[in-house]
Amino acid sequence: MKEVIGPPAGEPDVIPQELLGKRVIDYHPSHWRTGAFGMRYPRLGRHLSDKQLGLLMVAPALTLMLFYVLYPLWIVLSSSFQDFSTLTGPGRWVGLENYRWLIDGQQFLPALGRSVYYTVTNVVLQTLLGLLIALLLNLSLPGRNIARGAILFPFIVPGVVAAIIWGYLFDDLTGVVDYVLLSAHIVKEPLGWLTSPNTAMNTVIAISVWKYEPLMIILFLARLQTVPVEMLEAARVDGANHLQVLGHMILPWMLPVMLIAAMLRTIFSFNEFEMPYLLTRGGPLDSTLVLPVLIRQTLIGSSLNPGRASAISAIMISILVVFGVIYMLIYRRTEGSVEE
Amino acid sequence: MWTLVAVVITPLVWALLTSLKPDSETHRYPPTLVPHTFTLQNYVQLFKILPFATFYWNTIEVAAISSVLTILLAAMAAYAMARFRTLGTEAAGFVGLAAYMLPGILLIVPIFRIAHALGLLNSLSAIIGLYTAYFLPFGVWQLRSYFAGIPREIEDAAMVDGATRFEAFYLVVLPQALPGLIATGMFCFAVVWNEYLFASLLLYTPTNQTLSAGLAHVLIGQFDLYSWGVLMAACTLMSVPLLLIFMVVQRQLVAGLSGGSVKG
Repeated sequence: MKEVIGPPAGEPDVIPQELLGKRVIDYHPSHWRTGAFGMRYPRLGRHLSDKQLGLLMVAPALTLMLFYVLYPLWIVLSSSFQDFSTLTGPGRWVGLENYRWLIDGQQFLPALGRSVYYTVTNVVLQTLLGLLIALLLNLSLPGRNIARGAILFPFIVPGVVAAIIWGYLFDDLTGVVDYVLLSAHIVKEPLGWLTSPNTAMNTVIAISVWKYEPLMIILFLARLQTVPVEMLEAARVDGANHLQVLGHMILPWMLPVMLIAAMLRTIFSFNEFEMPYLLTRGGPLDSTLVLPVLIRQTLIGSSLNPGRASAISAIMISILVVFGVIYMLIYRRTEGSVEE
Repeated sequence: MWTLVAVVITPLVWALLTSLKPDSETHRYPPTLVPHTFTLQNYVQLFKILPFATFYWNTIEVAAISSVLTILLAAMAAYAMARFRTLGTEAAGFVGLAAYMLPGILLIVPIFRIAHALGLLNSLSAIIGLYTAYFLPFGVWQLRSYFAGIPREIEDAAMVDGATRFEAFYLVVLPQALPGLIATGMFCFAVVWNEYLFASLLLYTPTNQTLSAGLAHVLIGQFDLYSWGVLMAACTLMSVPLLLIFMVVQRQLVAGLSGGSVKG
């Protein structure tokens, strides 16, 4: 690219007085440009100001998102005040009827409770395990990088695949987990991991932890690698043992990231549909029927009720907004210390 | 550390090994870890019993088209947002953030009803549009930081040489950002490849299903399939492309994820 400021080749050498100080593009007579393969191309965007161009460039993306995300958001909120006689037919306004069903009905509140349990357990386990594993993978052991790569596998594998594999491992008849526990005499009879109402929820949580743990580990490892090493050295020289270094220096250093990661996982776990649905579809006996699964079930499962499904969605959206705001506040406050 | 790695990846290795066992061995008690007889029978069966080739092709088509579209639209929007501040770019930023935070499950009612009203249920092109819209915010997020890292001086030099602003964008900035475009595109490809919720909601006949939706229907029992071996073969074939992609973009993926964009 030549760096000459002035008219392009073929133009008169003298710049007309009135054009001095303007950009070359402003008086370039040619509307065509020679480019790849020696072809001539139209000069795109020649009449546009930066402002207009910016608008044109975001327009396609903006339109698509408005149509697929913001417009549906409006529909779901308005549908929650309507009753629909059929799955796809028009609705009529019923005010708060759907919300009354949520409070009075037998489905919503228990599902909300399960969702809270599912979310809290998931987040606590993921955060603590994530921290331990990240600390372990941060030690300089041989083969560390291979281990770091391998640990991400559960996250890479599709959710459907994870559900099928775990369904097989926890199967009552051919399941390997039961076999191992039986032959080690830890349990006396097959536990029916995913088929018994007592164990299904915790089994689903365990599988979900397995699947999404890698995200936590990545975040924590990134943070661990920025621990100021000189400080640790200094502390050791001053006679601090490993536990003291961990408790007084590394943990406080990790805390902001742990908080942010835990918030993100809370939002995600609360809205997670894939693993609970694929593993148990809400069963057995509704023991894993969390809110996202209930939405789908209300829409196209046991009942075909878009209004009620919308009401559940609307409530979850408001919870999401609250948590989103809390997350933003935490993020702002910790931003200074987490910025990489 | 190796114990941990073993615990984490054993299920996946077990699945791979099971896919190579004959059915008689899968049902044997006690189970065998390493197959006594290796066989590709399950893979052959997979293509015979299930419309697996169709699933596979549909998934490739949907994932490829929507990630290319995502990249194109996201690159333009991200560039405009990185360089100009107008009402349009601000609005796009806001809508993008909202779209980014909204889990798909909360929108299934309107998406199902709109798709039905437009006659787009069970259509691959509708789901391509949906995926593009849904993963655009991620693409914009990633590419914005790429564009911000490309010095303005290069564009200015191009414009001094007579390029229009848009030419400077696609002739100078885009080639510079190529590694970022490819990495983001591959990541979108992987996410679309995995996507289950919308696929199962909108696609219901086997000829139009993606791998996620198709295999989930097998799991739920739409097909008469009683062989774990065949299912494990399907799982293996579905995961292989993802592992390849992951090896290529591992570094960017990890950087991106720890950069705050943590959407499962």
